[in-house]
Amino acid sequence: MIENDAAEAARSKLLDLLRNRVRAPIERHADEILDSFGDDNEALSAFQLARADLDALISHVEDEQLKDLSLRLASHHDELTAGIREMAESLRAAKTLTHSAELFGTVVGVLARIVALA
Amino acid sequence: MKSRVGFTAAWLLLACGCASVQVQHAAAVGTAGAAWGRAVDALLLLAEETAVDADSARVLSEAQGLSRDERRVVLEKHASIENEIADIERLRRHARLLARYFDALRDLADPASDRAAEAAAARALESATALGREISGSTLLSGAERDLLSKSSGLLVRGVRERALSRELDARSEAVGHELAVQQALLDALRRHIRADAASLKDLGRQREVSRPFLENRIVEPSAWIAERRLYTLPPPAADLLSDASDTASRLRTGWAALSEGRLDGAAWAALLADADTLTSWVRAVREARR
Repeated sequence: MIENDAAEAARSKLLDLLRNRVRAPIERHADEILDSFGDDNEALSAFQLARADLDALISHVEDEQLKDLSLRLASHHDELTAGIREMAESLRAAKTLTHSAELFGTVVGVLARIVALA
Repeated sequence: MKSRVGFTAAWLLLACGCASVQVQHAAAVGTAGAAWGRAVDALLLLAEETAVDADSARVLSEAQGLSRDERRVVLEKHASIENEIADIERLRRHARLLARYFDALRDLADPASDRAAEAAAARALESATALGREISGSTLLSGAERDLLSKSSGLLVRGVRERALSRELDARSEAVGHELAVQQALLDALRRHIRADAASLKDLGRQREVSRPFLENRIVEPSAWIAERRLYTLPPPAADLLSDASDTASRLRTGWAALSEGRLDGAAWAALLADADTLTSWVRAVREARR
């Protein structure tokens, strides 16, 4: 758990750095940067493909983060399912007591009416 | 016979009275937990949509000035968005499972079945008394004893629920506590993810829909351009609400820990119930923001 937390904190820091310190300023000024290349198409292509590489790297780290969290949550799946099933069964047992009382009341009520008529 | 009936019913009344506080707390935690699970599901859906839209905005921006082949390479580099969406979908299924768990906890803590049992027993005892009167002229039980017995039937049902609740907390308090800790980490990750994607959408969209058409003098419909500019200038409505959700996640963890240990003060209980209301409004606000 502690190891997981430390790894998660490091990954979160890396993502913050890549998203907010590297990608965000480029995106904020993307048009100005592209204009600055002028007729140098080769440099422009290299820059644009490098942006796509940066996105792929961020996406990869995000994917790892979500996968890891998903895996950690999935380890509780069986426990939660068993809890839902057991609580539902207990509630059904409690309701059975009520139904029994209702049934008893109905039968005895009918009997009382029959005896009264006899 | 009559005094034994009265004694048994009075004993049941005394024995069951003390555990009701934990049941009330379980109802509060169940209500807040179910609302939180649904809010996380809504947030995941928002994260999913924002991630796809931001990725598309990046593809458009990065394709500017490139040849057809280079554009294809850009598109291929963005193919991993599909993995991310698959991960989010898995997380959504789990959030719905967590909401169902807390729904079950709340249902088990709901005293409605006790009251139903009490009413059913009262009706049954009235019928039995009527039958006794018809057969032997005896009322069998006095009105006070009938009342006591019907109350004890309600308490019997409550006893079944309380034992089940105790068993559940004994069996799963650690697992659910750990689950809520991971959920809090997930919420933090999603908040950062959504903020980054929303910022990309805003920056790239403003350049694509507002600055570039203006600088290149290709605004066809000025009113549409004005509307676009307004859209990219106003702040997103869900930003502050996301930090409120993180606070709620932390309070829910505290509430769960207290419930498992059999302690929870009135103020904490009231705060959890208020959180459930806040979360319901939050889910509504997130849905509005998506539109």
